[in-house]
Amino acid sequence: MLASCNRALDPGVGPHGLVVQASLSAATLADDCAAKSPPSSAGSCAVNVPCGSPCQQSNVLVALDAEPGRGPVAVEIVAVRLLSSDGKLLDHLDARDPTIWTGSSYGTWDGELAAASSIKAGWNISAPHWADFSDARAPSITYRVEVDLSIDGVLRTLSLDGVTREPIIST
Amino acid sequence: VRALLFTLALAGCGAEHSTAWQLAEGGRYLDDAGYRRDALVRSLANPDNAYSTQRLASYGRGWERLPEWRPRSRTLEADDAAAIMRGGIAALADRPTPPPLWDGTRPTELVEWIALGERVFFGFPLRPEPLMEWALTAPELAESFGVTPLPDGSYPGLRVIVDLDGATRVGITCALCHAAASGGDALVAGRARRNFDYGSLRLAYHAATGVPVEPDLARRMRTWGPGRADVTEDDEDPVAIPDLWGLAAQSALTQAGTIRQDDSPVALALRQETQYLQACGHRARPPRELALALALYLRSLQPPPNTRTHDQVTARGARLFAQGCVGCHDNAALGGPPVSAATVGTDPALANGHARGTGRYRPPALLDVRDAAPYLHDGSVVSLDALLSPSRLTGGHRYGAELDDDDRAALIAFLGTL
Repeated sequence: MLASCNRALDPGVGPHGLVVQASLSAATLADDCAAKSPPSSAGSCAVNVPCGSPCQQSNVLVALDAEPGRGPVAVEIVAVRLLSSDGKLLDHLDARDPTIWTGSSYGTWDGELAAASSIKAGWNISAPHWADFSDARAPSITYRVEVDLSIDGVLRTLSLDGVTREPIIST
Repeated sequence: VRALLFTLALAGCGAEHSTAWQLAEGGRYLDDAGYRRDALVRSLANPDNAYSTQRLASYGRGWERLPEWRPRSRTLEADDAAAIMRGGIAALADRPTPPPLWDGTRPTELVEWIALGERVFFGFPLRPEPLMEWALTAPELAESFGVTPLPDGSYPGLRVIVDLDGATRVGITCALCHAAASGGDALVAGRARRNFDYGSLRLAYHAATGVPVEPDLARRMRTWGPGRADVTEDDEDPVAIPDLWGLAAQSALTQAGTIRQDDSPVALALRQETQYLQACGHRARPPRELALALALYLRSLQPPPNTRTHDQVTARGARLFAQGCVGCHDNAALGGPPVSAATVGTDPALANGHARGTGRYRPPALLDVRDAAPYLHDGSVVSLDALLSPSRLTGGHRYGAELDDDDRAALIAFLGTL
């Protein structure tokens, strides 16, 4: 496959022998909402009312297609990297909270992929440290996101080009 | 005048513009991935800006593998708002939410597509909006930012939604920014809600809750004011919320002409599909049928009837318009193809921005222009008098400033009939 977006490198097979196709569907570079919780002493929302935050969670979405065979196998993200469009490493991001599409929403996922299944999985990721690479901070610059994904103990790297920092209002 | 313009805009001039042709184009958009991709490429006026780069990298590729989302939602009613005021959004979690607004059956006739598109416009959530949950904890707070209920107590543009994580939230739809009442009139779909002050809402939220906000972002939001917001990846070029009249007549979409379109609804459907996908954080994509339905609906929108009559003054204004304005405002909606930002002379930040810029601005449709203040893409001019005044201090669009007072008044009178 050409070295462009959505490519899956090294589609190796782990000890279970299960063949899995994986691709990075999308990436959102925005906030880390877990890190932006309002201070407990602040807030003018009604008493005892939980109050949302104008926060958009950064994430990566991965499509996984497992062929028939021996499973399930474990899937986890080992590393997420943010690179400039010309391949310069800018930041390491942390992935957490794996979820799986259940037909109408995303629910908690234990990271196990069954044989003969197709799933859409998502991970929250930490927000880029934009201030650490200020020359590349301009929101309109496009980036590459790389994800090291472990499937049945075998690592493969997925990447996505053309990712931008999210605007305040998507329209 | 209005009727003639719309006849031209909607009926088109040849067989290639027929309803059957438009529906056939829509069918290809729905069923042919290669056609969709080609149509996307054709629609990008500047393939090198960030918006285009992202779409070229992901549309028909990674985004194709996102799950299709048909959210459950319902209109946010007065008793919902009261419940939020008493107990927060959690109070709505146990209330029943109806099934998705579309059952999966494709319409066959244009009128059916448009009816579905209207339901999307008012009812398909673009994204959750926690700021609205906060504002609704006090009705006067929401009203101070332009978020007001209709006489029946419902809030246009606000929905109770079951979000992508299964949680109940307040969501927003197209109607939040693009449907508004004028005076005592009923709600008008397509009219910009110019009293909606999103920047002030955000700033008030941060001030009240202590949730941190970047100082630079706060500085920028303080400059927006009612009816303006920054919707690009640059965050430095706020635009006025536009009316949505005359889209079918325009050869370009967005103030900067970011998207080219021909006479089919496909470029707009692609734009709406992208918008929904981006608004939900790239976690899901909308059914394409709904994007197409919305595009057909938006292209059908008309301003309220204009009852102003013509007289000798407006006739004189029409002649002046024909002499001096139709060079740019030349299509059936009296908009036109994009012109260079240098030529029009207005603030070039949006046109030249890396986010969605093309180096050009699209002359807006002039339908209902009398009620479309503030003017120019950034809403920097408060009235038609100011726009055409030789003493205006803000730069750009100096056309009409050379007219004497009588001619200027005649031109403004004519514009009032559109």
